[in-house]
Amino acid sequence: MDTTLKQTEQVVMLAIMRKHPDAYGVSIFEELAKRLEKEVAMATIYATLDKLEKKGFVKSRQGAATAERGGRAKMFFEITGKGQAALNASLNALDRLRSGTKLSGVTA
Amino acid sequence: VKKHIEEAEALEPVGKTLDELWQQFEVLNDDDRAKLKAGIREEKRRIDDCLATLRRQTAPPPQLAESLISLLAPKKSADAQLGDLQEIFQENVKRFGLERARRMYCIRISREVGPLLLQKLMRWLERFGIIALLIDYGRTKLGF
Repeated sequence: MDTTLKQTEQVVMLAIMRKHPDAYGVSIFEELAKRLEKEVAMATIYATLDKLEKKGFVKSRQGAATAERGGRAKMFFEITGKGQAALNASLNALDRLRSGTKLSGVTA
Repeated sequence: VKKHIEEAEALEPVGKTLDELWQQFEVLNDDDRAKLKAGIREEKRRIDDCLATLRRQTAPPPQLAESLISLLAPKKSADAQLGDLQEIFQENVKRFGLERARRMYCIRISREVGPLLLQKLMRWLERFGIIALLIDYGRTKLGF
């Protein structure tokens, strides 16, 4: 099974971690828009979440339906232990690549 | 909420029954009657404002755009995606008004269509194994 992470997967996983325990479509979308300063299509977010779920890196659960959502339920997401390990490994690899370059020590 | 709006709309307008009410308040002097009348009119105006606000807040997003998403999105997440988009729509109605929120919703949906179409195509190709077939073909013919 594929255990590597693409950049979109990394950012979505980080957004889920930041919004935990309230990580669902809108909160992830808003977090990405705020931190990345650009809007990511909701369809892209859900496609990424679907891939991550298939890899076993995130798990979803159905929330309660609300009137402001037209009676539709929220889908909440959280990172699994396996997902956390994969994200950690992926970000560490990036850090190792970055160290020793002009960008080392530069943070957002 | 829609049910409450319908019930409130079904009530007889306060203005129509005012004259009948005045006859029952013959004991009141003209000043008191005027005050009472003004009070009732003010309450009616507030109720009308509340109804208008409720109507705006519960207005559904454009149906055609919604149908497009339900058609293209994967079954598993279509409901959640539509709910999320409606939540953003309702937030925009509160912030920018109904008309602008509708325009923003249509723009947002037009941006969603591209990725959704691509995903649908990929799912379709995966289902029929065409990608594997093309890769095999490439490997055998072109040697990569």
